[in-house]
Amino acid sequence: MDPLAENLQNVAAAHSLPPTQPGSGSEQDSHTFFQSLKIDWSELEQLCGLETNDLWVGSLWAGAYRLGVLRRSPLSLIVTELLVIALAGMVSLPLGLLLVRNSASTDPEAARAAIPFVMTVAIGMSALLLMRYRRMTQNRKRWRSLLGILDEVDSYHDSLKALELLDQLQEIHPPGPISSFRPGIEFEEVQAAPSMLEPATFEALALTRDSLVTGLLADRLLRQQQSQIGGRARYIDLLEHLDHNLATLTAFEASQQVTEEAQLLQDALKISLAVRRSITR
Amino acid sequence: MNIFESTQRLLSDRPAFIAEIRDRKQLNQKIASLLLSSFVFFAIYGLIIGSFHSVQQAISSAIKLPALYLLTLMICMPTLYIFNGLFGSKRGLSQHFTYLLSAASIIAILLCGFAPVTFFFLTSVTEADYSFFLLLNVAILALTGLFGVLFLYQVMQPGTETSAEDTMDEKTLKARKLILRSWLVLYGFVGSQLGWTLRPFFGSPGEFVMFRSDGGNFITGVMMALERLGGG
Repeated sequence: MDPLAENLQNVAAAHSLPPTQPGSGSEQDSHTFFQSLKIDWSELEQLCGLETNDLWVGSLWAGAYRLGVLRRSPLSLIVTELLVIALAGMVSLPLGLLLVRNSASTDPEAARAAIPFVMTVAIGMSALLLMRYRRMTQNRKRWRSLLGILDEVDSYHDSLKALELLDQLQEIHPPGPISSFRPGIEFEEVQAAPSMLEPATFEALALTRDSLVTGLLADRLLRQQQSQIGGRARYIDLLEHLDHNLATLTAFEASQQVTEEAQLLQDALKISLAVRRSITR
Repeated sequence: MNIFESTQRLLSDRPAFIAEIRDRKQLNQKIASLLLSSFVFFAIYGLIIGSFHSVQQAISSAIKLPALYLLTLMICMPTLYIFNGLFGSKRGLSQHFTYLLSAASIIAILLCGFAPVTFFFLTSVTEADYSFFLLLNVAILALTGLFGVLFLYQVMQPGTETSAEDTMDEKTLKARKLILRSWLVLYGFVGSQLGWTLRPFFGSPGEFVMFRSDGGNFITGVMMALERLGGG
């Protein structure tokens, strides 16, 4: 087996999650379980081979901005971009300084020297920023499927949060009508579910996590080593694994009643489908 | 991404933060966060010291002070990286840059800590006290710089990076320590000269100038300020 495929197999093994449920007991157990289902930033970095955060992938200078970042956190994006522009100006400062120093002997008036100085700095700054934007646009095209999967990771984390909240509510409230809340859906009255979430829900969450991990690994393989025979075989393995997860999730979904958890199962299925589509696009 | 996250962690959870740099975890994020946050902190302090003269000087200093610290770091980094590499360091360029930026962030955050003091003196002194304000700030900049350099010396000392270095022979270890000390002297020297080139940061009484074209260096400048202060 080639080194990358072997490395990816090790990473996959390290990130697979035993499909266990929280113990019937404490709130702490349940919280720990939900925490273990999350895919944190360092884990994502290991899986996709690139640094990621809520704003960008790769790096701020030669990476790509995440999809929908302007809609999600416009202020953060604007502040970061303004600071990057200021930093580009700062790096171009020596160019302007060189010009002012050389012209100082012939032009002692500082006010007159300011115009070529500002122009030189502006040219240097524009060149740096143009190179950066070009690189970022290229990366955005190249990493389209990765950016799509990362968006699904966000949706998965939203579902996890909603389920954790639902689980906490079910522990606090006795059976009867309660208020529940899901992201993107207004408060609504639902029948209280049993005190514990359905086992199928936890299994679906573990499967969704597994699909995301598989999708990220397949995408990495596709980016780094698509043409090699070992890499290609491993890629097909990962696709088959994804298909298996999808089949199981579809079976879970079909067996569920119309409940809050069934809706979340549907979300899990949608995420897995989106991951499958992203890597075969 | 919170641009102040790395600075916060540097203050509250330094050992873990340094360990992450050593293990090359999320280096790009740390570099971006440290670079942007230190730029903001230096710019705030630059704005305050430039306000001693005029609004134009305040804006000019808010750009020049971050440039002074961050450009010095970028100018001197290749020397440290190459010399360390020659003497067996396993640290990458990104790791070097992150360590140096961490030190710059320590200086920047300390300067921000001194900002209220500087602002107090700014509001209570007149133009005639230019030399006093200048020397006060030179003292603050020297003190914060010293802390930054001590931090850098602590975290970059050879023998603290990988287990492979535990087996490094005594001679190489001594050479690496000497390289780091010499580099710190070089860093101070380049920084003071770049500061002299980029001046004025405070703006002496008179018209605003973006850069001064007269020669000299940092040491002669401090000596002149001391003479002026001594002569009333």
